[in-house]
Amino acid sequence: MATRTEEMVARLRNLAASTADIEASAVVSVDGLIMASALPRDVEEDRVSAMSAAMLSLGERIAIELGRGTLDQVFIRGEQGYVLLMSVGTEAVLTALARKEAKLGLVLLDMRRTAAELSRLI
Amino acid sequence: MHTVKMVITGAVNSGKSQFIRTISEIEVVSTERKATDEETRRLKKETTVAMDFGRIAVADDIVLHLFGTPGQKRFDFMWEILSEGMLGLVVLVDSTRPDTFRETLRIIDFFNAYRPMPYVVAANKQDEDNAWKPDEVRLALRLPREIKVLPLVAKDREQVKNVLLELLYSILAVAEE
Repeated sequence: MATRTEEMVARLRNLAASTADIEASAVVSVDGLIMASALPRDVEEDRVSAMSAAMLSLGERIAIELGRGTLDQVFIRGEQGYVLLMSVGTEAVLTALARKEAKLGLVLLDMRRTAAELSRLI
Repeated sequence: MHTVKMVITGAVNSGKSQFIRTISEIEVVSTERKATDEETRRLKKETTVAMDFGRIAVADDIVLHLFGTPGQKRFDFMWEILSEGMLGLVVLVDSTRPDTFRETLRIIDFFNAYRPMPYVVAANKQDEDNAWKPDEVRLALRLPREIKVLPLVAKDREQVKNVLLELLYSILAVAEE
């Protein structure tokens, strides 16, 4: 039987397989520790994990502070593409990297589906 | 109006968030999340993952902006981000846990390497029986004589204020040189 981490990694692989737009992804605890990842080898996953947790927590704070309600997603756009963050239940964060030509609607839909599956595993 | 940016740092569970909560005159911006790593969980349920922010006016024309850092090394990118534009550093020490002193030194080195600046060390938790006294903390950390080591109970407003004012004096002294 697959361990929980293996099950999570399988979900992340499915996510990457569902669309060519998603290049990498990771699940991180809300306090910034890696739970499962499908990241390129040159990415330092410990740092990405901590940054994801920090970013999500600030996103949640600023959404509430400015009267925008509960946070749904954090969206970062760079010249080379996107970083997208979404909470997985109350305990974790799903971080995904998408290509700059990505169709964001589809990417977000796939991420949401994956986040729902992951939250049942955590 | 002068705004002075100070960063509050220190090892895990040294009292950084409490320090800012005690003194801030605005509702503190905090980012505490459930701790899941064993080391932190043994000490507390929640831990800061991005920053704390608080503000206090100390004179008619001086306002202190206080930025608290996360304690864990994995958040050291936040130490860099929060350092931007700071004028001084408060380093909190859990005086009841000498096993954290080495980590405290590492944090001081990190900030000094980034950019040397005035700092004070506050020996927190002086209300607990097994707390090391400020002088003992100074010796253990082998701090230079010009660095102030102050007693602190982070829940006590007057003591927190004292630490901030001492840092402010150090900042002003450096500015005058």
